[in-house]
Amino acid sequence: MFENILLASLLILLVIFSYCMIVFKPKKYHIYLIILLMIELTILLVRFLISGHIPFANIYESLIFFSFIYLLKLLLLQNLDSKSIGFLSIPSLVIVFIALLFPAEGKVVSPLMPALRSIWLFIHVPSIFIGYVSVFFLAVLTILRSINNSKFKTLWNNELKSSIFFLTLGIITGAYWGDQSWGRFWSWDPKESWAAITWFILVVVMHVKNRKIQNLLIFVALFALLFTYFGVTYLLPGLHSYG
Amino acid sequence: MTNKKLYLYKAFKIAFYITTSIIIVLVALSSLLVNEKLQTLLRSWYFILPWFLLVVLTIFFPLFFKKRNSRKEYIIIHYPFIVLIILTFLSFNSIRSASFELEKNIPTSFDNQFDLGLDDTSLTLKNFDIEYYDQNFNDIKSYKSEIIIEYEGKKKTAVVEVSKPVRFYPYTVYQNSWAFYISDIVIEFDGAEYDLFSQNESPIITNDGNYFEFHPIGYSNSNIIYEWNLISAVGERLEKGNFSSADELFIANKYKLFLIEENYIVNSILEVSYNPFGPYLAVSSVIFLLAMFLQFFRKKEIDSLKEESENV
Repeated sequence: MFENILLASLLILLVIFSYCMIVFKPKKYHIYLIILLMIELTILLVRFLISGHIPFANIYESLIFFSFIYLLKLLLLQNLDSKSIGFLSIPSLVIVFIALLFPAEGKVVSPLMPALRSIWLFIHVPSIFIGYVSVFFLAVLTILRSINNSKFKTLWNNELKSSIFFLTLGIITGAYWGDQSWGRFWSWDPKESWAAITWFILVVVMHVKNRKIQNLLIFVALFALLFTYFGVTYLLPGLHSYG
Repeated sequence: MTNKKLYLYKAFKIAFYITTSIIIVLVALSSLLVNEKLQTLLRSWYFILPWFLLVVLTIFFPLFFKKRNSRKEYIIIHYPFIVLIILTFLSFNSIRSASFELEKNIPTSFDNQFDLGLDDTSLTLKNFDIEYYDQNFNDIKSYKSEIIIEYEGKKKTAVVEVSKPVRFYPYTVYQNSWAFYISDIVIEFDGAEYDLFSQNESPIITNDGNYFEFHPIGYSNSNIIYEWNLISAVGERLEKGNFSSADELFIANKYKLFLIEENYIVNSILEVSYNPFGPYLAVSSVIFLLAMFLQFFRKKEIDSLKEESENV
């Protein structure tokens, strides 16, 4: 109940934040982002205290963690105007909304399964989520870049590199972890396959020169990422079905 | 750039896009369609071919660069990727594994049947244990085996746990699962003995018409943990509790029950895998990550696409 109240408050504040940033364009917005982050952190801390483990072991917790990383990255962004920050904050709004709508049985705090009790949980999962956040940023920046290329070109390139690097780190550490837990570093598990597909698409984006094709491929990569995150867990069985 | 070189450059680019697309489509289809032929394809030479082409294209692409610096920048990130792909391929083709169920104190030898080349090696289970999060034995925290490994004339004791394998290069032992085999459990209640595994045995019925149900729920400190349930005549569960092999007497509700005989075996199921390229794969992936980090996040950025168009 307390968690739902916090999530609902977070959602409302995020909607207000995005709206104000786009319409009113305040210059000093960092304090508002810090407040939003504090609410996220409270939710994560409460779950950590109840469960006794880092709170990103199932889909619901990962959604909260994802939005936390997203807002943190937004806070750390420099040299970007308020309106752009407002547009960039929209995906986090959607993620929090999905988390709020999550069924009660998916929100139950449960102890970690034996296979998840590993140091790699702290390396693999955050790496993957930083990569996911970068892809979401990339998608929004692709739209913004199509309006004003010179303003967003450098940031777009940086986000592309960041997404590829962190996805690579996540995939490689996931392979190490798979080797430790299941005895196989790669088993063409649907989650692994679709993470590799997302990675490949982003690598192709890096090599393509035509901006229209780049823009199209970014959204294909975003679709592949969403399928990796949600589609695989709910539609395809596999070793990664921890949701 | 001469026309011939330009056409070759464009051919390289197109080949790269086609190769990558084939890999993406094959992998996507194999995860979406439950098709045996498709699954076999992923493990066949037909899937290796686009990868091989990708490696060849990547190796020879720097020939299009005029400037040495551009060639160097290209090689820094792309060649470690090639090495990683080659080592991954070699690892996939050489890795072998087999599952073994170990009974306590009985050495298990490996012969050619498992095709692991472990002729003079044996594993002996000394002890197996399961750790739970709480005393209700609902959620397993971890499970582990203490084993003795005899390998190449050497003897070593090790503990293998879930996500904490034991390595003796090029072999690795993983804790996979476990198995209970309970043959007898005899309980004394109110002066009568009940063999719970006997097919014709009637349930333990109390004076007020309720009856007991028992089933194993866990294993801890070398004892099987059983759950007892007191069920009413109409099938409603009235109460439940636990007892273990170590308890000769246990109190269930207001009744005293005695565990007088118990025969069981708890086996540990381990997996042994052979992966001679494992360490090399680990090192090459670290090198690739480092190369990517240096290439992407250095202060002096090199826009490889821009450089490529200037130098080709």
